[in-house]
Amino acid sequence: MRVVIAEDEALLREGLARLLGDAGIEVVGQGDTPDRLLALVSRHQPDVAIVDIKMPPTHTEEGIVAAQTIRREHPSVAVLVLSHYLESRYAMRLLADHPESVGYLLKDRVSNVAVLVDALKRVSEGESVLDPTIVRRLMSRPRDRGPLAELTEREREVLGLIAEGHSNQAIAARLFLSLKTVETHIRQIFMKLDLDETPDSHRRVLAVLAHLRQG
Amino acid sequence: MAVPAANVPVHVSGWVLGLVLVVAGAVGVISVLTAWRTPGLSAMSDSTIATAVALGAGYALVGVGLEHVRRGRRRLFGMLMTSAGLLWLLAEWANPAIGSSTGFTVGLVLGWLAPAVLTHALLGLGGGRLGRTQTALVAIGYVIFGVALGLLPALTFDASATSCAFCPPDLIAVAPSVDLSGASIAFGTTAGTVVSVVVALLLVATLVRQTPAGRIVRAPVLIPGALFAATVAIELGRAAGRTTVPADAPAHLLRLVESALLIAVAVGVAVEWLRARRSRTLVARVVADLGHSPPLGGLRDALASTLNDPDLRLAYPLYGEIHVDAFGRRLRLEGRTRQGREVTSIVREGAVVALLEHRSDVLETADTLDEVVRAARLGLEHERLQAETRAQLADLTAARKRIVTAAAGERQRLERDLHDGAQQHLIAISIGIRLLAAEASGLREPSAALVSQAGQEIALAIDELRTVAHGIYPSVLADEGLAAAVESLAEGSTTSLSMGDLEVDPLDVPIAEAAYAVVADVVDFATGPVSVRAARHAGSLTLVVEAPQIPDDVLVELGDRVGAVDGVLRTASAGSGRIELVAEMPCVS
Repeated sequence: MRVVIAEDEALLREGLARLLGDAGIEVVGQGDTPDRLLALVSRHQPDVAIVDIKMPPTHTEEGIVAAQTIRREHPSVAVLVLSHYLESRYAMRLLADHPESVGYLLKDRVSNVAVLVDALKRVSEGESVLDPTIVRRLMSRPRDRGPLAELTEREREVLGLIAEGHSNQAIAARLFLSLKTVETHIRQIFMKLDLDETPDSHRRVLAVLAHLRQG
Repeated sequence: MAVPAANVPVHVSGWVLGLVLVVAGAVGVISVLTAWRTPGLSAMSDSTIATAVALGAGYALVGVGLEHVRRGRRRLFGMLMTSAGLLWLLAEWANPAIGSSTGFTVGLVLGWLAPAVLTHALLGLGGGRLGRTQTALVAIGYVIFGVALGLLPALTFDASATSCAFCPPDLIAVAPSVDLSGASIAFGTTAGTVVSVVVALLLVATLVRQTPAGRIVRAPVLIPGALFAATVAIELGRAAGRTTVPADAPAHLLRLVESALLIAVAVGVAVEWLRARRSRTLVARVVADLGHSPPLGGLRDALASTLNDPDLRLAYPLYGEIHVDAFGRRLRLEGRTRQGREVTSIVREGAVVALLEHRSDVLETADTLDEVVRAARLGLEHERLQAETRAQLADLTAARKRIVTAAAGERQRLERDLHDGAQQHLIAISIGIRLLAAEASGLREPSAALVSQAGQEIALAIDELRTVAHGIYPSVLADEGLAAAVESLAEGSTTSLSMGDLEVDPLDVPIAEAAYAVVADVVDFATGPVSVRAARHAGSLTLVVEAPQIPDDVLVELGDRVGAVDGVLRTASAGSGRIELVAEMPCVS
């Protein structure tokens, strides 16, 4: 797999490149500004671009804008945004336009190579990836009695994995369930939450996220 | 109490005034007796009515002049008016029928001087120094009326040549010469005609240059004054170039008109006094009204309308050179630099209690300032105290706002530092440890466990740091506004936070920060579900937070926070142990 990295903190960028290199991923370019990033992507057409959310000039959310540009102009390049914002709204913004082949991970995940490599693999295969911590935060949020309270424990587990962007097969594998059982759970969940079930797994992530964010 | 810099009241003792009054009376009586004796030769009149009018004119000028001196303000004007009146009466003494050589001599010398003195008085009415043109005109007037028509003819008076056999001797006729005296009079009448026309025009011009209000005040004095000068011009014009001034019927008619106009001038001055008294009553009424329900700034409005100066400004000294208006707002008085405006200090017991910036001429109308200030004393005192309190309050409010803004800025800076600095470094370290662990995969078991534990510790530290940084300042607040920040707060809080309508963005950052602080603190201390909604209406943001009872000291703190952005926080019971906080904050709509 070939990736480019955009991150303005040199130490972090280098470390990340080495870590990925050790894990057998080819880092074909490194940059520290949105412009450099877009140039690298144009030149190398990597499988995935790893993008820090905070980049010059304002260090707020330039990464999200850059990610959206890449997805729009280079549909074959997947994007994984690294962020330290726990707020789901940034992830939601990222996913809203092009939910496929896009991921949003908390930055401290980078030290866990397995998680990072898994996320890279998933976005390069077209899946959406949302950091489990953010999903957990949304799920555990205290709320008045609503449809969410009517889900069974297993259904809540499945819902969380859907929100993280996993496919039905991945969910079945993780929970040691048959694909059929998972599909039944999903149908139940969508009925209880009064959501339209869509076969498109990316739209499904968005719908679930929107529901969870409503409070 | 009122002390305009250049015009300090001086009191003239009563007996001096009484003496002048007695002298004036005597002069008048002598003149009337003289006029009656030989109406044909009289300068004053040829009829009883004309005599009475001339006498009335002299006495009227003396009367208003002395009253002016007695009031102690614009003393020069008063003295000039008194002199003009006396001289007007003295004109008759040039009548040979006076029968006294001293009286006749005085009459010859001073008989024509009245118009010159009156001109001096009226041109100086505007207050302050005379302009260059005016000074020149007054001096020329004295030369023509005093020397050319008075002193010189008296010095060269030739009783025999003028076939005035019954004339009393002219005591100062040192060089009798008909030619000289005739030439002097011929020059005097010609030049006097010209000067009188110029004076008449100048007085009209003075009136026209006044502000509308000043015109109303000055017209009763300046119009008869100008007409008087014009009449004098006609009188002298008839004799222009001639060696004697005729005392025929038209001349007597002109004198009658002049006398009547002088009475009108005196009445005009008296009218100013009445106006001043009315102003005082008016201000007194306003002040009485102030006592009932004091409208702030009401005194300025009252003074502005009383003094006919809509731009009038009333300032109160605060600390040293700083001046504030009734609302405690900073004020810069421009009276010293702006054309046509000046500043008058109102002093009480040696201390300046207020400053009045006004049109330069506004206070010249009689004793207006004194009258007004006397009436407004209580009101001034009341407003001054209010202004002081308000100004100090404004200072405190501004200081509080600065402190809160600085604190918010500092929190934001801290949040950035933690995210961009400390957290980045920790992540870099965790990567380093991971690399280290991979390189030294051959480590013995205890060491490998230690490395892995260090990695976990760092992960925890990163997590905690993120929570702390977010608590210090939610970056989403500055980036995306209040609604987004509250939403993010709801996502992360352990109490249920339900959001109602929050479509109030964009807000000014300090307002958004204050509003967020209220919600965040309530959520922090609440022991049960919290609900929040906000609305914007007519330049004001209303934030309503409903929550279980929270500690009083937290409420006080939140009140301060809201107060710092000029807002108000109210709390009300919402039943069953819950309260409702309503924060009203101003915001630009």
